[in-house]
Amino acid sequence: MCKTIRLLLGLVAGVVLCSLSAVCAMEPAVISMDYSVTPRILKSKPVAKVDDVSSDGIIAVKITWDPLDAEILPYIENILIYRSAISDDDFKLIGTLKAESTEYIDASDTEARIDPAAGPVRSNWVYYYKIGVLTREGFIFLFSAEDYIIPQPVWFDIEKIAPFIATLIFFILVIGFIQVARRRGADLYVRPIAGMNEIDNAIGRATEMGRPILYVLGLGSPEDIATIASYTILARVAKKTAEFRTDLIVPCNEPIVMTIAQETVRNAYLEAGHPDAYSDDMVFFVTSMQFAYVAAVNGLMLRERTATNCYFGKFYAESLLLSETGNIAGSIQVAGTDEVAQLPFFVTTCDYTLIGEELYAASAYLGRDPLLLGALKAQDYAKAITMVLIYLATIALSVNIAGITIFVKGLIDYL
Amino acid sequence: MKRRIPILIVSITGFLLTVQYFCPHPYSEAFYNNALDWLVIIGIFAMPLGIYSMVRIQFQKVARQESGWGFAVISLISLFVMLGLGYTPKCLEAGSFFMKLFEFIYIPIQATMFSLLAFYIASAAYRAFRARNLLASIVLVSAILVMLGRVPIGMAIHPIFPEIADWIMNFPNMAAQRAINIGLGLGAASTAIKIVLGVERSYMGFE
Amino acid sequence: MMNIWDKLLNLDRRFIYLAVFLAAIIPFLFPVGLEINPTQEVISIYNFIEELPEGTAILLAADYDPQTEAENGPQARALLRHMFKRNLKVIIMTLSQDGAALAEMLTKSIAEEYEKEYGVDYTYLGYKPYPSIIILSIGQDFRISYPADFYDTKLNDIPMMREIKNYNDLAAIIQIGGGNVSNMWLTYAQERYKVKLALAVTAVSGPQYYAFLQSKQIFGLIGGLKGAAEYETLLESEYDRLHLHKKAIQGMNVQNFVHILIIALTIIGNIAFFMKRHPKHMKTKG
Repeated sequence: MCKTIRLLLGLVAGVVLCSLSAVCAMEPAVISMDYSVTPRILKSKPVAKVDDVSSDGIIAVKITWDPLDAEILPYIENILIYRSAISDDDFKLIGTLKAESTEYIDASDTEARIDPAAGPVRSNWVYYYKIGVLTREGFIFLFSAEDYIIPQPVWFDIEKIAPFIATLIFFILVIGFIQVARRRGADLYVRPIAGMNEIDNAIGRATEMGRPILYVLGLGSPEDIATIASYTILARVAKKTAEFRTDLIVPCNEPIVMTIAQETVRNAYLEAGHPDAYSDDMVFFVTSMQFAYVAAVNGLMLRERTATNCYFGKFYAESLLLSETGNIAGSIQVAGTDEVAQLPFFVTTCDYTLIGEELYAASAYLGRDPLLLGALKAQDYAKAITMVLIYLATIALSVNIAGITIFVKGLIDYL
Repeated sequence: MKRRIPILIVSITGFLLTVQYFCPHPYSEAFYNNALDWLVIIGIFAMPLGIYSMVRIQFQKVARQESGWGFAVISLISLFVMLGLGYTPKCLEAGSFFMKLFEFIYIPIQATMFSLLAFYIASAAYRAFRARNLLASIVLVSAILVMLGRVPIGMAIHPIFPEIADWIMNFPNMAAQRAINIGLGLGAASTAIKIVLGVERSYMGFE
Repeated sequence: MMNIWDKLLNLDRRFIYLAVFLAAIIPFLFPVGLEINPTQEVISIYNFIEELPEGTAILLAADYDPQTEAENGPQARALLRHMFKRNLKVIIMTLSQDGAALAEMLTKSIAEEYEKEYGVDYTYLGYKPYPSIIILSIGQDFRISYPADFYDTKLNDIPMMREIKNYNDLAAIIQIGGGNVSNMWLTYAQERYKVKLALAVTAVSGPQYYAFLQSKQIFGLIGGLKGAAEYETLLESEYDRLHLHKKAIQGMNVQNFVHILIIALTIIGNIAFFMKRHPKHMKTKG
């Protein structure tokens, strides 16, 4: 009897002590476990959907599901994503997410996968997805996505429909006007560009003074449109200097630009009938450093006392340093750039400045080639279309007629 | 033939890259990545050409003792010294001789060149900013207002100055910038199409 | 004989250079503290960084050269300090040839201030040539152009880079520079890959980016030393806490005086021009 009482007392004391130690070990923030969560997860069974979101060369499936109820979130450890291919029907774990997540993208370029056997998602395979809700007690509740999916690579990015239509219209305009120009010859009007006409006079002046001409192609890379336009003007200048036997100096900032400029000047001298007058020393590489280049070109201007300085291409902070030095040296200066921020500097220090697209129009203007003139006309019409669209959109938004406003705003948001 | 083949290469590549922009297919992306790799490779090949041209011209200047040949000597010495030091071990670590040259000679020289702009801007503004006619007067007044509004002293004179400066920057300035940018965008697109169609050939050194 | 107006109109430019020199040096030696009010375009960058969750990855493209260090340097320092203060994971790179050493010095010094660990809190990728190609290739994967960082460690061996593949994994790009490379980030990163972009540019190239600000192609703009001074003002408590030198705010003293000088010169030039052109008109009026 006494033994039994002692045993019972010991048992009670053990239970009390265990409970006390458990209570003491518990941190105040810990939420007490509620095993009634299981039926609640089952009750709020999330609905999962799968979508093919493949783009930019990546095959991707987006799995989305309804968010779990906020009240059960504290009991959830993770959300697990499983995938199975039809040829391999056991599901493999591909991702673990936080309890509050509502989507997962299974992309072909995702390297870290929990189960390496899952491999990357591939196009034209059939996939099934399951979402697992892992509770803190270690139970997993699995839910299947509503449907299977066969991801397909995309051939056309629908988000780029607006630039695609614009490109297409522009392309058609250019080809159309080139055809018109072919039929009508060079009979398309181009407004006179004073700076361009002045180049010939400036070359004449340099010849009379017996001093060289400096041609600067700017700091652009060979693929810049301004640099490409500059080659055309360089060809024209080189042809004239070849005819007049005036010295030409072309210091370059980029090796590829230098190579093309050498070829341009060589061809111009050949076309002018003076190939012997050309030398590679006329077109040379100085440095690709912006201000070291400025120092070198400014030194050239002051030492060689160039009569005419031409600046055509991409220019940055060096524009004023070059043209102001030219101004101090008393040279005639003609410039052209598409760098809007540098235009004020050129306008204040040079005799003539080609503004923005006037520079691009140089090849058509100088060459009078019907094909180039046609493209220039197409550009004008595209600009007119753009202007009309801008005005229409402005009016539509200003008059505030409900339907039109909503439509235009929607269109602008979409674009 | 010498001209046709390069034009053909440009046309085909240009057309394919235009299509690639709209096509997110893995094949198209692979082609695009390949094209990028080729661009880097070709670009790097051009560098020795530039260095050769620079060294040749400077050597000629020294040999012929042309005006400013002393500068050519300095250029060549600088080139070879920096090139040589660039191969020394740990040259990029702080305190190395290479870094000292960079930090205490190269950076100050470059910054000095840039700071010349302040002097040149003042001189150009004094000489060229004239109220010759109505339009020039508008430019002049706007410039003064923006200059005042952009420094704390404008605010100290009257809080309206920064507001006026912001208005000028956000409306008249932006309208003009946009107009030029739209023209430039179309011009650039037109040139690109001309290149793809083989109409524009100046980038190859012939018209 | 030349009258005073002729003399003013033909003023030797060396006098102007001297005046600029004095206007720059005097306020540098005797600063006049004036209040700096941050503009909305700078505040929006500050707020963006301020609101990012800790541990978010962000790219700082320090594409500036030594020549623009005076303007871009304070911008870069203020931005990096803010990013480290917010415990963001920062990737630093440069597309400027001369900027590689500058960006490295910047990164190392600011990381030391905040006791940040390389590879965990920040990574320096260094310089690569041909900016447009690099910007495009990062849209696919950093590893195409940068298989390794500046110190030749493979990106996959750098803890913070394991999770980062391309622009999709970044909260934003903040580019410091101006000019051609800024345009490339706009065209190739923002337009093509729709990544969030903000720019910190030199004062001279600032005006051309306002159009992109309004069209929301960039979410913020720090223009020149003034923008840097505004950012330093926003971070004033941080600068004071670490006892840091507010270089841009000090520089604004100089800029104040030089602006005033240019305004004065322009007005004097115009008075001389007007008097020379209409001497009688002034006489009758007077």
